[in-house]
Amino acid sequence: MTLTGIIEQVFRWLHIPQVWVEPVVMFVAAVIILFFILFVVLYLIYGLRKIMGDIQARIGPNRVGPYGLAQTIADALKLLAKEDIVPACADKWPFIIAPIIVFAPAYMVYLVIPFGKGNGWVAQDLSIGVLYIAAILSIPIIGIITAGWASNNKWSLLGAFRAAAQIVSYEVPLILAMIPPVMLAGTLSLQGIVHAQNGTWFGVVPRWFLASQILGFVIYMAAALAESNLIPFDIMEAESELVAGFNTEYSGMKFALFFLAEFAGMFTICAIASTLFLGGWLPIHPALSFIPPVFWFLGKTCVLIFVLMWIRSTLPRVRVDQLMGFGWKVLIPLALINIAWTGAVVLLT
Amino acid sequence: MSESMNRCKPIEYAHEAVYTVLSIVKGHIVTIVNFFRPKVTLQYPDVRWELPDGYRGLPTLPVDPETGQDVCIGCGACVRACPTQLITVETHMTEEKKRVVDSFTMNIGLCMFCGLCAEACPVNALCMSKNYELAAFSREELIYDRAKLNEMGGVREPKPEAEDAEPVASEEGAK
Repeated sequence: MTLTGIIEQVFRWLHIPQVWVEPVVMFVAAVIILFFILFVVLYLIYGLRKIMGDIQARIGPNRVGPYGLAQTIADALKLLAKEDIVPACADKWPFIIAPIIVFAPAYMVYLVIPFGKGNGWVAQDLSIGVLYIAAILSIPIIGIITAGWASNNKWSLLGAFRAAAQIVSYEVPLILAMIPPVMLAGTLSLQGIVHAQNGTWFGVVPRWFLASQILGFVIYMAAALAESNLIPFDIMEAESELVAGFNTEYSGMKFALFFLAEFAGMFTICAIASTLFLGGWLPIHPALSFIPPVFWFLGKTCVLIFVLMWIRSTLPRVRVDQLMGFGWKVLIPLALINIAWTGAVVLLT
Repeated sequence: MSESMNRCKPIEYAHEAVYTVLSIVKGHIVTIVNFFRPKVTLQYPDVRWELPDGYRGLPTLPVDPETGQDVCIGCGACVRACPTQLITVETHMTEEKKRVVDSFTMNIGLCMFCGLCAEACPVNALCMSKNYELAAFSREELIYDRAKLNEMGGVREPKPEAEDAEPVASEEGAK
């Protein structure tokens, strides 16, 4: 039974006009997704701390709750209890709005992400899903620049400048890397892209787009790392150079929103990558389809998140000029070559 | 540098690209190997380090189990040996020309655990214990008297270098 069905039943029982079903369904879906994001972010932070601990032969959080599982909940409560400071010289309203502008897109992307088979597992399967994601992912930069400007702090502003340069230039390879799966599937809908990856070759190899798109996948992951400013490409909040970049002046709840957006973005890019390249909620082999699709989806996403955390704890931060050089001189030409190659694949099959 | 200048530019570029990718892969192998390595963290208050022989903790006056007292003779060798001069010993002479220790205080807030006092002690009354948890709420609490130093424990066992130290002491006595 779908969410709409349940709410329709409840409304009929309570004699509430059916006109209200649609908005209430939207609201409930939004709340479910919000809580899902909060839960995912809390445990991504926990996972990151544990994995980085493991890689550095440490233990990581293990004091609060069994295996330290309640550590991030305690941290979140502490952040909420902190004083919400607005610096005296800051531009007040932009300063307050900026974290919301950064967080909202990270939340809005979840509208089209297919967690499982059918319409019950995706908030709204837009027919232009990939385009929607590309459009939404370019909004946070406005919030970051607003934050940097409104803070009235040179470190914040420098961080925002770097963010502008970095995100705008890495958006190009990111979107160029998202085009080949669309070409192969012949649709922009994410559910459609997942369905196009159904089946196997020779009964063994799954027909995921990764097979012909290894280069595209690597370009996507590299650009996505930069887009969500994760560690090898986190020059916009480089602690050793810029204090904390655009969020230097932020504390308490507003800082929590930036943090939330960063980790929600980390989950989002992995979710999109698993949908576009790794067959989304499709099982690795039809024989394994007794496992619910949502677990396949979350499992693939978790593997990608582990890879991101692995990269994060391995590579040092790149220099600004190296970053821009890598984006324009390596990723964009490779992404264009990859599109040409995909065109050849589409033509021949 | 000049050698690479002579080389053809695209080849150099390709060489650099391959080298970059290989070194990134190598780095990831190193980290994933460490991921599966056992942890080195010692969860301190729950698990404690096994202290090695010769570990220098707080110098104490261990109690002789037979007499129930320490064996300090009040010679003051430790007072002279201490680089930070944190030991004070007050003594008086009895009529039988015997030295009696009135007080023995150490301001352990100044102690750097060098062990020179224990080395200087001729009767091995002052020994380095393995006690290292000495936190206190005030500086006054860090001034230990004789009773406190007795109860701080430690084992009074002849040091391996005691034989070497003795002739030096007797030489000094001869002078």
